[in-house]
Amino acid sequence: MNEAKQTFAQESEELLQEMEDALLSMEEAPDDEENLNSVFRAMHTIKGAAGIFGFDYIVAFTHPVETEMDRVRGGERTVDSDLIAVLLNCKDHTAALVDQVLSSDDPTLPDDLQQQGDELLAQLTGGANQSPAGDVIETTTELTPEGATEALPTEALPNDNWLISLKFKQDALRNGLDPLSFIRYLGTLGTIVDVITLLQDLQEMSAMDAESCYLEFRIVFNSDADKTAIENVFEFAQDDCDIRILPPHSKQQHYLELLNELPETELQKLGDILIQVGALTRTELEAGLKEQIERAAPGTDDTGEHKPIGEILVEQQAVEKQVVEGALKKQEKSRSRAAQESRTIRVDSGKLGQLINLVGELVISGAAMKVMVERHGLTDVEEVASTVEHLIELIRDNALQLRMVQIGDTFSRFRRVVRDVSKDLSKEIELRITGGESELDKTVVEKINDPLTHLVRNSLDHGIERPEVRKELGKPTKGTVSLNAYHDSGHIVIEIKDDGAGLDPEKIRAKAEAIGMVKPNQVLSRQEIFRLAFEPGLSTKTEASKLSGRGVGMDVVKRNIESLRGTVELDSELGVGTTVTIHLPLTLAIIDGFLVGAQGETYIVPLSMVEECVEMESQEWSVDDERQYVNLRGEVMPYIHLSDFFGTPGNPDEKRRESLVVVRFGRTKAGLLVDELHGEQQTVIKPMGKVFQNLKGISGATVLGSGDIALILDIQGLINLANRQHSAIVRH
Amino acid sequence: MSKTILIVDDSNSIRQVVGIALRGAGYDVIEACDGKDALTKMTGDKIHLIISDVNMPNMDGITFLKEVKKHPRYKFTPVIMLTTEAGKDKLEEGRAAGAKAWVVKPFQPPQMLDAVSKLILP
Amino acid sequence: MGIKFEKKNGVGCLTVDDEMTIYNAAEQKTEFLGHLSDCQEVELDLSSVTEIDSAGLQLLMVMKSEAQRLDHEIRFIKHSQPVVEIFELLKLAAHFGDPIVIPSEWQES
Repeated sequence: MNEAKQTFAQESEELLQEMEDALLSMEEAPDDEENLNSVFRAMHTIKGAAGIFGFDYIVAFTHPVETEMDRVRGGERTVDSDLIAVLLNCKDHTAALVDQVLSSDDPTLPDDLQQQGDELLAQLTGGANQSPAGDVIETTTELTPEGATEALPTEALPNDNWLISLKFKQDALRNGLDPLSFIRYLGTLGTIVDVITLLQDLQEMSAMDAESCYLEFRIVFNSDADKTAIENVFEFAQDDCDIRILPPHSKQQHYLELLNELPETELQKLGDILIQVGALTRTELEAGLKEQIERAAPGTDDTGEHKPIGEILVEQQAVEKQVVEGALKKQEKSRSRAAQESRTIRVDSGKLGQLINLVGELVISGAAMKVMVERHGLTDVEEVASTVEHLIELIRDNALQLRMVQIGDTFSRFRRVVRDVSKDLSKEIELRITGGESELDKTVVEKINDPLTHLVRNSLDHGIERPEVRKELGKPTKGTVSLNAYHDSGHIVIEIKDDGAGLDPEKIRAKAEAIGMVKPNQVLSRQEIFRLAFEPGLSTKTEASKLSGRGVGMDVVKRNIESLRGTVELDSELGVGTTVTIHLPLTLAIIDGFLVGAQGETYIVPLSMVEECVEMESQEWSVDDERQYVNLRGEVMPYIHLSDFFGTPGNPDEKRRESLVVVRFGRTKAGLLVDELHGEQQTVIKPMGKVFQNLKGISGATVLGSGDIALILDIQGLINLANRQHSAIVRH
Repeated sequence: MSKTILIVDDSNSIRQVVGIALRGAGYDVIEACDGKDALTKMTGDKIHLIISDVNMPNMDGITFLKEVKKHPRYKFTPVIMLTTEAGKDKLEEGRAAGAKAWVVKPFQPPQMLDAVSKLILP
Repeated sequence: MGIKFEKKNGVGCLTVDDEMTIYNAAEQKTEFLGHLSDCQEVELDLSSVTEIDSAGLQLLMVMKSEAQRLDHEIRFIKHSQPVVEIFELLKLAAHFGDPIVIPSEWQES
């Protein structure tokens, strides 16, 4: 039961999220049917699921909301911002009810929640037209076609008969079509219970053309034949007769049952569904579609929209309204199922983790095999081995891909935040989202949410000015916060940008001096000053606000991001805006590594960060020991001597033959001086134990094919260190 | 009093098969091998139904159909066109000219009898 | 072949000795309606109707409704087998309200 509850909660959460997204998009496009449907679907599906579990209070709340949404869909109520606001609250309330289900087994709702729900419903339905749940009584379409109402009292009709209505056109007889023959032939398919023969309105008998046909028939027909078979009887008359075939009530029931039994696996057109259960014939559908196109012909319909085929078919009395509704429901179900199925398979993330661990082991074993093959010179095995290696690579990529999710969902959550906050602060703010399709590891996404929230709130709270201030400054009154994501050298880059007030470097510096973080005479670049903003204890805001009252500072943001092996940078221009840029690795599990050696030790540089390698004898580069930089074809960059840095004991007399590996992180480059270049290898990142977590320059370790351990270099850390060394020396 | 059907087709075997089936069902059958031949056999005696092929020598089915529709004694006679799957445009042409019924070749005798009994009373 | 008319005791007696089909419906219609407007009471003898189709049936219905409009009376009598057959097919006996006598020598159809 608990597990089922979890599933219900999860599903509800997703649906509610979709509902919120739809509601927010509705503000811009109130008539978009898809949005209306999403909201309706969310309420509808949650209601249905809650019903199964017996969560009565969820049913009681969602039902009226669903009903109201149905009215909106039906055009009985228009969407305005008030309605959206109430619906957003309804969404929140539903979420609260779902939480309540999880936390308590009590079938009754606490009074406050109950009251809150009642108030919301009252707001939603406007109080006046509040209708008790379940009062929707379907008005069944009249079985009797117009014109014959008096002639065929409905109560006289046994329910189990077909009703066939034939209205012949004037040329029928001249075309050699004898209605009597058709009716007689019909009699071979079943029993003709009754026939009403009518003459179409003839004003003046003497004016009547005896060769023209004025006959109409209403035939009460009892038969087991299906609709298509009955329609076939009148196949030859289709040009010269309006044919309506209404199935018996038992058939309607039968159609509805068949509809229910239809598999929901494929999405079908309404007409096809109706044909499949036999409620509609292809000829009727074609006539309906033709009608639909004719009605939508330019000039006849200024909205340019097609009338739904279902409505046309009901109008033409080809199908009963009930059946069409049944089919529509079916279609809706298939659609949402298809949408879900094609999008996702639910897999326990633990299982995925396990898979990725196994793939990791496989990668290591693969490397071991490669080593063995090389060591024993098994040339004939080499080809097989390289195929296996290639396959392992593909499996690795695919396995990692499984955990990749688009960042768009994370981004769009902020739409609500932006909306609510701008209302609270009476600011006008627009959120622009780009690059939502960029993917990154789910574990990273989960952890990035908090820092991102903090940064966005900062922008909303301190960045964007009030409309009147912005007007004075000559900025558009509506501020913009943009979230952008893109991939760059094995990383995902997330930018949070606002066109607000910006940060004053002077203020930051003053504050840093005040708390003794920097000395007054210390020379700091602009970049370095902004970096200070992430230091603990440094916040330029003078008053605490409701939003930032979460107790999370920029230092925590930085720490969170760094724990993901990412970095965060800030750039700002006073009065113009602030941009925070986050670099994150795409995954935390496996990388393509570049193996280098220094004094017998093997190190791994993430391949995505390697810019280039320069051989030892090359004339292209030189090292300036004094000033700690390398000069590569005229480009100067700081460097780190790996074996010196890690203090590996070496033979000082041995002439070092060094190579240069140029690494890049973001916009900065640095050189690594190493002894050997071993080439590329897939590397499974094994986290270091707690004891080693504070090691500088190391981000993890891995097991090589040979069974040896290699350290994975923390390139950004090393670059920072190199920069610091370099600037320290330059300053002296 | 049995009803009379005129079958017009240049294929001897089709005429024969249809003829046997229709006679077996109690109709009187007149046979003609093309449109021209058929017109000569429409001598004023009552014909209740005409079954006509489309592609025939001397006078094709559509021309024949138009002649029938002009004939005071037979203009209201129902006509079944014999068409092929590929001859759909001919079928439309025939329907426009007033032949509202059709049977697609190749057909089995029961199909023909069905079509006939939809159009005329026995 | 054709329609015979004679007046007996003020009742117009029509006998159709012909088929009632689309081919002669127009002609029959003119004649029937003419007699119907002349006579307060008309009897239509259908015993010699060899064949009847929808056009013929339609004509019978037109006669009934025209009689009603003129407040005249028309009765169909001695229905022939083809006429009875379509009356039965369309459950029309009640509609026209004239008694139908079915001679025993008619074959079951």
